Amino acid sequence: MATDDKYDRQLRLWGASGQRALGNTLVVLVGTSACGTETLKNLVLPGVGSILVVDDDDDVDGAVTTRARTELTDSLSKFASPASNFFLPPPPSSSSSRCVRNDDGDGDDGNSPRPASNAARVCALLTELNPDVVGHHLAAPSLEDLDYDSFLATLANDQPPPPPPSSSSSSSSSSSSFSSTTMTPRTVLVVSADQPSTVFLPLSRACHRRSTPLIVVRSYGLLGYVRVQTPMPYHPVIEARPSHRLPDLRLSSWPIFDGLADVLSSSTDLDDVTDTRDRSHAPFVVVLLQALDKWRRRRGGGRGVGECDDDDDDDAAAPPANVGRRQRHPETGAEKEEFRSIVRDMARDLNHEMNFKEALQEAHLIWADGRISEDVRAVLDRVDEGSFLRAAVKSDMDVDGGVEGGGGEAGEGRPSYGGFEIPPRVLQFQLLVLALKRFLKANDDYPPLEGTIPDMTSDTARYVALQEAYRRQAERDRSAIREIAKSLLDECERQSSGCDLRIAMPTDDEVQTFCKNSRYLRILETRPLFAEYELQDPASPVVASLASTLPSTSASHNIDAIQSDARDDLLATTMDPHETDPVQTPMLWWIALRACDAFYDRHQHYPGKHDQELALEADANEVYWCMVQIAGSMGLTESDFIKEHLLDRVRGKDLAREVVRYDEAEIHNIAAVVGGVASQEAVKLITGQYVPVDDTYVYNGIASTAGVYRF
Amino acid sequence: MTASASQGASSISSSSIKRDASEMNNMVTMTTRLDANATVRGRRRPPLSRRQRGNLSTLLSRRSPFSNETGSLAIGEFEPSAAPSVDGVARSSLRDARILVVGAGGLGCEILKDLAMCDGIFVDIVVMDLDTIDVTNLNRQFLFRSKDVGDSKAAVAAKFINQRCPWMNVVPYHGKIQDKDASFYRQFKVVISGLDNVEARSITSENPIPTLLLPNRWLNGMINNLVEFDDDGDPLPETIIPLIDGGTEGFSGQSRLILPRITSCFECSLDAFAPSAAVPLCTIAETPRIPEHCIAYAYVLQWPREFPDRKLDADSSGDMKWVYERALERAEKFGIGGVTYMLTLGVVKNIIPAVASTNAIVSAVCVNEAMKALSFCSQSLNTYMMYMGSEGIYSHTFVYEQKQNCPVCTTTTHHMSVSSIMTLNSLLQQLCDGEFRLKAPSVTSSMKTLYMRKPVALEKVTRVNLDKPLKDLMTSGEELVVTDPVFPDTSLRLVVKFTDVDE
Repeated sequence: MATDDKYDRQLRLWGASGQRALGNTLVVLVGTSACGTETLKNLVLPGVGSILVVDDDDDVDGAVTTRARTELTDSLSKFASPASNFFLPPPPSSSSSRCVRNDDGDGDDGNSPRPASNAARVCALLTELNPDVVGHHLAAPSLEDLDYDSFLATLANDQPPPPPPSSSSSSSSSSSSFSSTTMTPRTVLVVSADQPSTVFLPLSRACHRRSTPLIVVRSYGLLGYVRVQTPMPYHPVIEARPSHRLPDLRLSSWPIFDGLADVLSSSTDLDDVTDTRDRSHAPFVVVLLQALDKWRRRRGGGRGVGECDDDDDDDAAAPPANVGRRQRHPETGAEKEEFRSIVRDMARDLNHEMNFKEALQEAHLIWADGRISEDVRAVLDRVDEGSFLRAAVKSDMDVDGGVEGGGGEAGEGRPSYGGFEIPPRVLQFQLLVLALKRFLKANDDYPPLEGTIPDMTSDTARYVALQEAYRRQAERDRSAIREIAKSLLDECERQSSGCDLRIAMPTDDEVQTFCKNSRYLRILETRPLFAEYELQDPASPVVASLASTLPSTSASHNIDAIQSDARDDLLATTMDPHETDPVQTPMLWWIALRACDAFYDRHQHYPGKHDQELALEADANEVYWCMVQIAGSMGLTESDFIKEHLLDRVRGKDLAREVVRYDEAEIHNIAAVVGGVASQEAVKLITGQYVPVDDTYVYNGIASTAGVYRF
Repeated sequence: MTASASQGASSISSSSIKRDASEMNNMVTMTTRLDANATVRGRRRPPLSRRQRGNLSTLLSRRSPFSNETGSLAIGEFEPSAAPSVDGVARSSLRDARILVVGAGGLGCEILKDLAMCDGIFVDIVVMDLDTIDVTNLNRQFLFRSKDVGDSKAAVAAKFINQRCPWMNVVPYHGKIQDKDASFYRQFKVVISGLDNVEARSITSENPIPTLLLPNRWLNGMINNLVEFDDDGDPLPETIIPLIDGGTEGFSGQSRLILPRITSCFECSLDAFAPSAAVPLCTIAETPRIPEHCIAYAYVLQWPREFPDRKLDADSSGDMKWVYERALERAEKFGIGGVTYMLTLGVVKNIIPAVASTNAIVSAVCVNEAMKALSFCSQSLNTYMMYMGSEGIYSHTFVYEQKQNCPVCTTTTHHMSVSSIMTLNSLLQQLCDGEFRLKAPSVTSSMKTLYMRKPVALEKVTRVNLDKPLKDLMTSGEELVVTDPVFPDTSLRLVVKFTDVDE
């Protein structure tokens, strides 16, 4: 084989830096249902560092020795009966295993081997997929009563976990390799699989406080969803990897940078070139710039078209007096057309001069504004030097990673929600963004040059010279950014009065990646999941604290604004029903799912538990009633679409009947779809590359439609 | 610690397992202190993980307001089965349904798993793949382990599934789909295709444009051909085998449902797979600019010169190192940066990035459609779903319209106007380069065979026609029958008119 790197096919997507980020991450799975194990499968395969599978399980303690470990894998590798979870064998039939449940949970009589916990079995079958991945598992007595805050705090600790219990006889050799793995700083991502709100809401709060990304994944009958909750304060994206990048050629900036000016001045006027090959192998960049020159001379000083030829002499040594008038670029439609006709006139045979053809196609680059976009400007506005300096300096209160200390401003009526510690990745992002801001100020809002040019018809020498000019300028811009970043760090140093900084100088590679992508910087900030459930009650303390923590540049954010934002977003999405069959619009089914959750909260079980027609119909009535309530609390009752398809009793009841039919069924196909989506989002959150979804993907497996909503 | 800690904490130690050095798995003990108020309160609810959930049998046994016949693309009427039984006896009709899975790679492994996890209602599967396992498959083709490298994908995948899921009967076929004929394909109730969308392709000097999609088109042609018609010319429902096709590239992919002769087919959407613009050979030979040009020079031009008797083996690291080093030399000579071994591999093998997550999504959507197309328990995808995951998520479900004159799923005669002095060879070239994108066409007229590629003897006899002008071979307005490997057992009817001849 030509390569022995099993990760080759994915390295082509996220590169070595993305792979490193994956390798440094611990993914925690709460719940062992199929959509959870499918999510983890797709993270174990590409080589996430380690996994921790957590589930509640009461007839287990899972103390399994090395010998039993082999037996475990063997016993798992053959499923006794059909299942819907490829990584969780169905429980052994009651005859082969006697499950004695003890109320205090630890009455082990020592003789009858207890079955391994769900978490242990899932962990065994998942880690078997990839020897690079370290697996942990944990059986908790109850997922609803876990203190997720302290739990996450334990995980974030860099220290190696305490040595394993002595039950294992051969621990010494592999435990050292384990500690070395955990010594590297690791990031944590949490996945909640098929949990009721009594689990995912506390989890959502804890992740929010701990600045830990959370993905909630759910499969329910033929429906499913994936929800992303970004870590506080936001998820920065440096490598957005947009599918279309406009070449960064800077033809519209004035003056063009020195290197490009040199290339241009050393190129002969194409009108004077007689050699056909020479003419047809001049890069289109040169064609465009020469055409621009002609256009400006036509326009400039009111001189007529016919006179422009006389100007050849003062062309090379452009006198400063000309600068003012020569800054102009074609702007109006007529001017652009005029410019194109100049290019057309310069060509002698458009069918054979590919470079002139390309120049015509790429003429827009002459007026494409290379300055920073509004989107990036919004990102820049989110970062200010003052708060960066404060966050970058490690305060004593932060040392323990304490919840209360992180914000440094506790005691102002701002309880737990505000006190997150800004993650190092965000600090580094902020440092580079601040450097970029200063750079932009000094460079008329032009970001660092990307430094690569697209392939274009040209001979080798001229293309290479052009590429080299761009590369050099990009390098100059990059070192400017690096210098600014250094001086910012120096300022931090001065303010720290001897304390350690929480941030170090980014590597040259990191600076380069940032510069190359500075035109596409993104910040993703989802509304926390618990907020959706609790915002509807303005008396909730969450609302007040959320209002104070939602990052905003001004104090204008208030509860009303948050709520009306949320409602406007949702109302807007109901304007976009599915084109073929509006009833298959995923939003309707999302409301039906929420109604099932509400049903669960009232009954401790999901609707459709009993097969009798009457029982099903009674559940459907109640679910329908919940749907109407939820649509109301989401502020959707005024939407014509909701009126027609949900509030209309006949149609709305059909939605309810369908979800009642499911009895919370675990359908593997649906679990695999949402598990696939969840793992893809996890990769984006872990690598900091590509743009995660904002914030919920709903899959409707009835007609295979899907939608993305912000809740 | 938070306030709840004072209520009393119990320490739960989850234990785990150590693997010995030889074992693949490394699970290590992890001890965590947790606050578990539940135990303090003394009473516990049963664990959430033990809650009884419905399953596929539940769905199949209950009526639905959204059963298949209510959908915009109805295939059949849903009849809820009797109360679900544990052993699945009540669903015997579904258990008899034999399913073909084409491809045992990134999509195929997922498809097999998804079928096996349908609560035991699907049992009889045939999986075809001609490939063997490569180490670069292991990041997503999860039925394979490093010990399997070099073995047949179909065989290893089938064995894995049959082992873990003893109720399954997956039969592997290690070979090309073209090895099998209509009688083989006719036995299946549904066909799920998870082929790479781009054929194993190597660009050579005589074939500079990679041939796209041959297996997909062949399979599509085959399944469309199986449809029989009644006296009114309507397709007979029992001869329509749903073909479900998936494909991925990086973070994007698509799934589609093809009901032969009813919905659009694979051929209808050929335009969506635009062949990538080929770099002219003269650029490669004379004016290289980017590293890809240098790599192409090394393997398209230098290799045949150096090794006239041996084809380049893109899977051999020796061969690829040679290409890489030549490419690097050339790049240095011209001052071009960026030639790496990884890029060399990518260019020569036309590697499409692939990840587990996208395969999982696309495959599961496909199998979900297969499940519904067989059980009618819910509506069918009408007809095409695309998924793009790199900038947020964009997914879109829409009806892919049938192409008016699709050569596969419509019975249209195609028309072409050419000069009478055009050679037969140019006409064939036009069939390859033009909208039909044929691969190796053969042509007969009503009177005689104009050009046949096989058998060799016939090729020899008809080769002389290639350089003849069309006017010497046929009359204007005559109908030609064109066959090609992309259309199994079927042909293109082409009426050729001369532009320069009055009738």
